[in-house]
Amino acid sequence: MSEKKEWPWKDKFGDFPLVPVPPSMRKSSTSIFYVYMGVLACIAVLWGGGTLGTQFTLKEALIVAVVGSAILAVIGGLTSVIGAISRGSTYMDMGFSFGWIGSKLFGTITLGVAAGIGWYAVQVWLFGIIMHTILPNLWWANVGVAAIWGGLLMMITAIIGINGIAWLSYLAVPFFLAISGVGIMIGIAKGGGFGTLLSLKPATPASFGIGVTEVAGMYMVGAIICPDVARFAKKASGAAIAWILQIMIFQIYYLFGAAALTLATGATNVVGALVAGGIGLGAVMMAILGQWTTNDNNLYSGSLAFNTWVPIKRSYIVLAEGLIGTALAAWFGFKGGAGMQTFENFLTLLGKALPPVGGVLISDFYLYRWYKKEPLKQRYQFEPGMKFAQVNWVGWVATIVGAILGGWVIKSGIPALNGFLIGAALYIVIAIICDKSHIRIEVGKHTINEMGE
Amino acid sequence: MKFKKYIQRSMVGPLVFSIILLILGGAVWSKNIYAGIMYLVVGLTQLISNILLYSQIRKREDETEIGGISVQLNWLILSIGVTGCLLFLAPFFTVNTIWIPYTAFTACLISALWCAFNLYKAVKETKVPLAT
Repeated sequence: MSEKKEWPWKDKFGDFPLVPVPPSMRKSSTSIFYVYMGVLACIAVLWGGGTLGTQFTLKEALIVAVVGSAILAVIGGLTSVIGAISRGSTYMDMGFSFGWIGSKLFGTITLGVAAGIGWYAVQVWLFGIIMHTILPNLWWANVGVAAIWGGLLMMITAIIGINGIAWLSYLAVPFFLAISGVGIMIGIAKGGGFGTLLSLKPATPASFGIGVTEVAGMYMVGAIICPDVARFAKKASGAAIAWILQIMIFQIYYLFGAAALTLATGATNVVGALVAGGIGLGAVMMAILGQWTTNDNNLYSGSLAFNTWVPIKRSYIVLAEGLIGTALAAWFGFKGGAGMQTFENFLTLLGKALPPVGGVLISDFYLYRWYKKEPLKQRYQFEPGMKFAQVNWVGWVATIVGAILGGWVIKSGIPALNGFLIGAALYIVIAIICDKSHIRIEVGKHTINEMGE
Repeated sequence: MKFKKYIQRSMVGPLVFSIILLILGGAVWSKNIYAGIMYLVVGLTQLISNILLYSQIRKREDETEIGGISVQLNWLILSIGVTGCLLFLAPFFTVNTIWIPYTAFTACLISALWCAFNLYKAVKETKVPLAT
């Protein structure tokens, strides 16, 4: 859609879940960077770093963090450009590579349910554990009870929308950066100096592949749903650079800091280690703001996915998925307590199942459209009255086969990367073969109206 | 131009507080190096943000542009001020004199409140969004 033309859409549900973002709503690269940073600034990334600290020496943890982050930087950088060019949400963009029904189905299952409810619930549960660790004797800091009030709190900015998410990120990100630095300081202080810290051995060594999968899997959902934020960017290059910078500098910094803290103190619960290290109120605020800035984005993205087929205001969807996620987290909290295994299992599952979705999206946008000789800036342009396939079966096949082969069948390499590459490769190979053989990859037709329905 | 003049004068306050933090950082360095680093990080971030704000709006005339820059940099000073408030009194940053952490805490608190008011003024007078 040309910016010079009048914006021809009607935003029925608020915050543009079904229609492209208008020029008047576009934000600076700095603002996009802050929102991305807000999503990254969470306890889960520190917990992930803490897990690395139990499995690798500090030097190995750094290499694992760099490789895992590089995978995410590439995937998220590419999806950011897609969002900033199309101006549509991830689920709108998926309409091209999965078809109209496919975008709803895969968007809902993988991103609406996985990110909006599953990942949200895990983060709320983590929040409950952290509050319990910090204040073990208070009834309102019990894992289940803290999950309830924490979950309700985290819905607020997601209900407001992208502006609410940006405000909170502006407030929380510098704090989170500073307190992560404090984690490194405590690690050095407790470990007896940086030299000693480097020589410490992990408690339960793991393979390089497992470490990279943990790092990549931890934030793979975030990399795939980049278009949800990047669609607001004034420049496509700015959106990509914002993503790459925050991943390659700040994610590595967070992971390294948490790994150092865990290696030095032996505590896998990073916030607990910070409290033991004498950070007090700062650790409490870290828990609250860290989880909040990430989880509002999970809810927000989830609501965009659900809004593709649930015809109610986006804020009501946020409320519904937030309540479900909070209830799940509270149930985890009351029944399961504070074990780490659930978190690790969930990370591994995400790292295996989701990458092919991103692979297909990227493969369609960059490779198949290039093969079809579509200029970059004319790809994924939405217009009222345009026709979508109901199903793009190649996207479905590539995703399902990519997830099974990459995640479970192939035992060597890095499962997250395997799934992504197999999904991308299968899509482009099958699509080109079909094109050469005059076999239709698109089935059925759907015409969208000015409300994006 | 009313807002430009306001914001240029108003930034003197946070500038003074950032210099106080840098002096305190130097004072605590030998007592607790980690506290010294944290004071300097907070003070330097505020100082650089002030200088950036002043230099970026100096040659600009458009109120909306000035408002946008003010919003971004006041957010940064506010949030790093809140960070200082939350960390300076923590046991890990203890130094043997009680007045230093409390002075640093107060400087951060006033800076944060000051910038919160600047954000309000920027949004009200230049009509820029709170997240530009």
